[in-house]
This record gives sequence, C-alpha cells and structure tokens, in this order.
Amino acid sequence: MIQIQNVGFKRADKTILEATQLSLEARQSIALIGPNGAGKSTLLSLMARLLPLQTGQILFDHLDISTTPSQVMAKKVGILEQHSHFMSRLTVQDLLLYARYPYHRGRPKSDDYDVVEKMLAYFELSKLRATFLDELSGGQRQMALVAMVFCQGTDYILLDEPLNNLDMYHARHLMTTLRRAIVDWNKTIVIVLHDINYASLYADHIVALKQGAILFQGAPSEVLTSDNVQALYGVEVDIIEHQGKRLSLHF
Amino acid sequence: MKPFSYGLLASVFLLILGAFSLFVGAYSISIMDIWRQPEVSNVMISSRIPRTLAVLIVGSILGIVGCLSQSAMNNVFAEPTTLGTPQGIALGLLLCSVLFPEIGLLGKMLLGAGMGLFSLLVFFALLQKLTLSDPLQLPLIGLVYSAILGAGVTFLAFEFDRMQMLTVWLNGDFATIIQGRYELLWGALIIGVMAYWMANQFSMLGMGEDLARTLGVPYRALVFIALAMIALATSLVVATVGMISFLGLVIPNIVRQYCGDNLKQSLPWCAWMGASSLLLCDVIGRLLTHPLEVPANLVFAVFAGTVFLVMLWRGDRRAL
Repeated sequence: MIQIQNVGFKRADKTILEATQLSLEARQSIALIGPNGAGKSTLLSLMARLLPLQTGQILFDHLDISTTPSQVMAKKVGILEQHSHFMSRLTVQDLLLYARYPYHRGRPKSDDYDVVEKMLAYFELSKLRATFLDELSGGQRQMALVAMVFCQGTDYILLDEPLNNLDMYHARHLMTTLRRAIVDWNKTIVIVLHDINYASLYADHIVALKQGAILFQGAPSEVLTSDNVQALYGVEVDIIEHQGKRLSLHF
Repeated sequence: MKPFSYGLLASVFLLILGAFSLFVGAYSISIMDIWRQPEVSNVMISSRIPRTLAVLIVGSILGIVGCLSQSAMNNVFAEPTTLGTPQGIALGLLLCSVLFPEIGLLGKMLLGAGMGLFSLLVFFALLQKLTLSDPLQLPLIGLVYSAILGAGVTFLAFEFDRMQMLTVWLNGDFATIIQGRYELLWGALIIGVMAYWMANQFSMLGMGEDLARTLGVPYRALVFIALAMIALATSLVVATVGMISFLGLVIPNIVRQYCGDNLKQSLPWCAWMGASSLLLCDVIGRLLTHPLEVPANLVFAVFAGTVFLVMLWRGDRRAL
C-alpha cells in the first residue's frame, strides 16, 4: 500500500503540487492522468526519491522513504523516468544486470544472471541480448528499459509516460506485457499516461491531477464521465462503452 | 574469433612493438651487441627499458583515465585535457616548487593531485548547474575552464621564472626518461588495476545520477573516488613525463564502438590501445628526425587530431 500524506512541492514560490493526500492499494495498476504541468511527474519523482520531500510523508508498505536507507528502498521501488539520460552503449543484457545492483552491489552472482535470463525471455528480448541500446529501435529500447525496472525486483514500479513516441503496435504490446506482469508477479504499478483510453483499458485505478491537485480518482468505469474529462482537460468529449470499457472520443 | 584469442593477438602485437622499441634510438644497438658489449647492456637497462615501460604505463593509464572520466562525467568528450586537469595539476606542482621546494617528489605529486582533484570537483559542480543540450558543449566549457586555469598557472610560472617546468609538464616527452626517473609511474598502474577492480561500480555512473540513485548506488561517493583516481593518476603522469593530450579522449571512443560502456569490458582494451598507440607514436618520433627526436606528445596529437576529425566528419555524434 502506498500512503502519501500531506505532500506538496514548490519551486521558486510556484506551487507545483498542493498538499496531497492519497492512499493507493497494492497489487494493481494505477494511472496518473491530467494535462501537461499538472504535477504528475513531480509526484512520481517525489515518490521515487528523485526530488527531496518538502512537506509530508510518503510510505510504501509502512517504509517511510525519507528515513529508510536507500539500499532498502532500491529493493522496494523502481522507477523509469521519461527521459533517461545515460551513456547508452550498453548491451541489453548488461543493462538488465546493472538493475540488479541493489542485490549484487557490483559483483553479480548466478542468481542475478538467472533473473536477467528470466526477464529477457519474459519481455521477448533474448535475441537482442548482445545488442547495444543505441542500436535498438524506439520500441525495443523502451521494452528493454521496462525489463530493466522489472529486473530490479521491486514490489512497486513507477513509470513516467512509457508510451511516449511509441507506435500503436509497441504501445499496445508494452501495456499488455505490463498488465500480464502485474498479475504474474503481484506488482503494483503507478504509470503516468497521456492517452486516457489506455488508462481506461489497462488501469485498475485512475488518479486525475490538475494544477497540482487531485481532481478525481477511482475505477475507470466510475470516474471516466464526459463531465469529469471535460473538467480535467477542458476538451469536450463523448464517452462510449465498448466491451464493458469506457472509451473517450475526443477528435 | 573468441575474446581470448583477440587478447592473445593484442598481447603478441604489444610484445613485438615493445621489443622493437628497445632497438630504436640515437645510439644504434643490434641484438648481438647486448651480450658482447657492457656499455650496450647499460644503455638497455638504464634508458631503453625504462623508456619503453614508461610509454606503456602512461599510454595505458591515460586510456583508462579517459574512459573513467567519460563515465564519471556521463559525457563522451570528457578526459583530463578537456576538463582542465593538467592545468590544475601544474598549478599544484608549481605552488609546491615555489612554496615547499624541499618537499620531495612524492609530496609534490600529492599536492599536484590535490589541486587536480579540486579543479575536477569544481568542474563537476559547474556541470551540475548546467543542462547540456549537446555533449559537445562539455569540451567547449572545458576549453574555457582550462584557459582560465592555464592563464593563472602561466602568470605564476612567469613571475617565479618557471616557464620551462610548465612546458615540460604540459608536453609529454619520453626522451628524458632514464632508470630512477620513472618508477613513480608504477603507482599509476596500481590505480589502473584498482579502476578495473571497481569497473562494475564505475559503469553505473554512466547511467546518470537519477537512475544510479534509485538503484541505491552511492553516486556522489563513487564520483568522488573516480575523480580522485583520475587526478592522482594524471598527476603521476604530468610530474614524470608530462601530459599526453587527447589520448584519453580518442582511445576510449574508438574502444567503445566495439566494447560499449561496460567498463569491465572496455577498460582492458583502453589500456591496450592507449599503450600500443603511444608506443607507436614514440617510436615514430624517434625515427622521424633520427638521431634527434620529436616529442611523443606532438606525434600523438597529429594522430589523435586526425582520428578525432574523421570521427566528427562521419557525423557519429552519438557514437563519439
């Protein structure tokens, strides 16, 4: 369970995130949606300890992120940022092995190789194991990065707009793989999404942010109404039901 | 071919080149003479062998240091020359010769390394304040930074009449290497071995601060260790033979085309390629104007500059 208590964030007197209360059940996928600049990435970065907490508390299964040692948190929460800036001439296999750092501290053991092997197979990357990241296509690269976060073996996984720049095939493939992984390994995933329909189809719980505050939250079938979506994005939409899921038409 | 046989081939090549280097110099030597004439074996032991070893150590350590700088700064253009480190070290060495002339080689070296580390830390802090939109901006900033440091050093050297020392420090030359004047370099080799021992940890630095931190990597501490090793190794090189510019830039970038950013794989090749290319340049320098010499730094600069331009020409910005 994730508990966010009274967490706010200011940058140069500008409030990015107002004091937020949020309690999220484990073992489900949680989508963060909202317009640009709503504070989604900020909230995710705060949860991942990439930004310092200015006020309040964040707990993952009663582990307080500001008092728990970072080696312990590294086995609890993994994050994939929107832009990962790093020297990317690593092979897919090495990248996955590096994500095992919380366990091997730079000296990989056979367990770590086993996990990497399992993840390479699960994410269908076995054939690309020796390929350098900068030689992969955008879709393959994103899949490798997601596999890397899963290699970290954390209960909680935070993903910041993983579908950016992915074509229809790769976006769908990534979301179905994520969906399957949640069930297979009892993961809890918090994912920032821009496409409201992906949120509706793949998330168990939606949290909508606007101007640094939570506008609404709940199951997609309850909260995705045309009034809510219009209030969130300022766009008129039609909500239709298709095979028991709500879809938004906004073109 | 298996990696093992590549390694074997590389070692054989280096051995042949090393052996050849022993027989090139102002004083001509043939294999037969070594046993017949005592003065010939003397030349071997006091000059040729130390020189060859010095070139090999300097080449390999600068290759390693360059590779390490690139991971620590998370930028493929980082290396001591583009970070102003030689100027920082020269400042330390100069202050030492002015303030504590009696301190001895080791103390001099440590003060040089200290100033080198300080200049690296300032540069690193500066880099944290900026967001580079292109990796090429790093050497540009580094150039300005080196120029500022360099101006300060030159001013001091001029004031205290030590311009000649400064020239020696900043222009690597192996002509003066004889037995008893290069042994500190073995210390640099130890640093190289330590870097290899910690290669997996240092590779994590190349993933950037955010990713490294979420994996529980003690990022700042590791960067500090890496920078300290870079400063110490470079300082040993600057104080004994003088800086070889751009070796740490060109060699690791060629190696990473094939070995990538996993230092466990790339560091040994950086060491090998640094050593063999510098030895080749030194031998060429000895042959070009025989019996006079062209400093290795100059020959290497021509070689490195050409390689660098070719890489830029090919537009391989990503790979560079």
